[in-house]
Amino acid sequence: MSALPAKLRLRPLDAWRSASAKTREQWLLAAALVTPALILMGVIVFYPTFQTVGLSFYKWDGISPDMGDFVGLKTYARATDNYPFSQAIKNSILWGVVGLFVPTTIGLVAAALVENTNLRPKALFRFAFFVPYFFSMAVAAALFARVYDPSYGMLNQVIHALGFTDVKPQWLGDGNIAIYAAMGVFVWHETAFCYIVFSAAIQQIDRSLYDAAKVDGASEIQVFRFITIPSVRDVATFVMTIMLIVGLTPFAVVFLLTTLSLGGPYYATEILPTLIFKKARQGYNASEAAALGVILLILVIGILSAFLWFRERTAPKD
Amino acid sequence: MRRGSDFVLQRLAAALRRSSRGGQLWTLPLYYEICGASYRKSVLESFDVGEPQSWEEFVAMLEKFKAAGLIPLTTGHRAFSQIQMIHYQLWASIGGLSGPGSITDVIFGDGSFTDTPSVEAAQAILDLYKNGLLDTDVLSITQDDGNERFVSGAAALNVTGTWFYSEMQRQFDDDWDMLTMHGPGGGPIWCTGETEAMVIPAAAQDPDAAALFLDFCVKGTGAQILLERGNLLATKAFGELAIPQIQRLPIITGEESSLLIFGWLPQNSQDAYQQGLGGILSGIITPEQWGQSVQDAWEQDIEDGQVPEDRSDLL
Repeated sequence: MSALPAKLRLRPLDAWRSASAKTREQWLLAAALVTPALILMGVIVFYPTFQTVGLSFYKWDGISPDMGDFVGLKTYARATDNYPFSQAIKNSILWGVVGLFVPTTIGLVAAALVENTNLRPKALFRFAFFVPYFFSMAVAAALFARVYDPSYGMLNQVIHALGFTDVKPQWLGDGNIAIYAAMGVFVWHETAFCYIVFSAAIQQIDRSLYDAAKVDGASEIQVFRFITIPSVRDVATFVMTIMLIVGLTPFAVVFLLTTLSLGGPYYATEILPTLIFKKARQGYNASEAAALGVILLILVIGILSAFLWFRERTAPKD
Repeated sequence: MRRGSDFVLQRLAAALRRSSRGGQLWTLPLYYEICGASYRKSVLESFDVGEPQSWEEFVAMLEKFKAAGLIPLTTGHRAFSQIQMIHYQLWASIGGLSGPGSITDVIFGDGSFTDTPSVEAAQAILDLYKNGLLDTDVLSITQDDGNERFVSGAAALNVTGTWFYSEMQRQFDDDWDMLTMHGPGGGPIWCTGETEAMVIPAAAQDPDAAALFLDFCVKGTGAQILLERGNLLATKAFGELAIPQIQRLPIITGEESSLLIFGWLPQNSQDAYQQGLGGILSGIITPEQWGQSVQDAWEQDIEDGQVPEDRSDLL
């Protein structure tokens, strides 16, 4: 809003009247271009969102012709007063934090290493870092299910080869580590996306900045800290925003690793999307699923807003 | 609905009995399941053991397999938990076909998942696991992984059921069979059930049309399709008894069997049931806490109308 002329902000009709014919034509063109998208958004995003919020106050199984009784916040109480929900909230937040920092950090560092050092051939490294993104998350999860096999999986074979023959982690069976094993698949997959975006961003940085830093005797770490990071700040905000949203809703990876005992072992990998799926698709409890969906929406908007507010607050003044 | 199906009447007498109320067929079961522990006959012979006749004999047999370096009993908990299949069998064995604490009593009567037979069965599974008699990887692997271990010869027993019969016949010819496990102090009771049925619901808007459709399915072309392509015992392999082991099944012998519980559990209860069994083996909860959590979920399902409050006439 602050970028708009003051008169446009305060009195749009006056602005319209005082605008030139050409300006009016541009505005009409803009409206014509935006309207279809707004209608589409309204139909497939806003309407279902409002409908979900409304549904969360009723008692409906999702298949009966009649909506059922209005029960107010009772649905929320039922949906949240249990162990699976507390696990889902804890895991969802943890996963969001991991999504925010881990793939982004690894992707940025890897991109800086490939683009700003003498690593050769660069094309090979770029390809290697991006390979995980060739696979869908579902394929990645299926792949890692084999890697994590306690007896025949690659991971434990490596551990044994290193001499730790008595160590046999149950990657997907141990309630204490299953969530981290699932996150490992997510990080492996999403780091590739972060890498390729940061790689493109770093290639756009003016090389004279690096040359000047080297002439001044800056170390590689100093170059990374004082040139690379500030230069890709806006791109980082974009990537982190995407990773935060994806991190808060990593349904595919958990679904593929744990279905049909979704969210197991013993709710160790339960997240809000899996809980919603179970309520809606397996439990014929559309109202509780809707309530959980609203909670997830609030969680995503809340954390995302806090993140963007923090980024704005810490942005360089110039 | 008319009971006009030749093949249902001839091949599926037991299924039909369970699918009828007051002489009316109200559901067409599409899949018949029976769970147990499959074994290679030659393996049991090489260890000089027969099918165990008690819990003690069952444990002793598993100890022999373990001592020989085999995985005594394998199955998978990740994905669909087959540990619950073990639990059904042990519970049915301990609780009997009916009476206090039996599966029937809990599903259709006043029993609770916290009753002794259910909790004792869960404790027995924990004992097997702690003593290395149940695959130590059970929490991490799927039933497909368990099948691989069994087929490759790494495991002596494998928890499976009718859905794996064809594969075992293909792999081992006649060198396999299946037993139902004994719980501590109990006898052998099979757990069976028809699942994945087509049902005419009480609230059907046009029950006559639905009945006509079911009738079509069990007669003429419809019956032929089910016979050729279906998963019920009416498939060629089952219906024509091409797999000899099928002749031992309760549906053929007419022997009384216990219910496969999962067909009766709505999502909340089923989730608590199978997740909780993993929780017991992980040491996160006790068998008693598991029983209580399943009971809580069951009561919530009843309150939500997922299960009729009065279930006595469903039996």
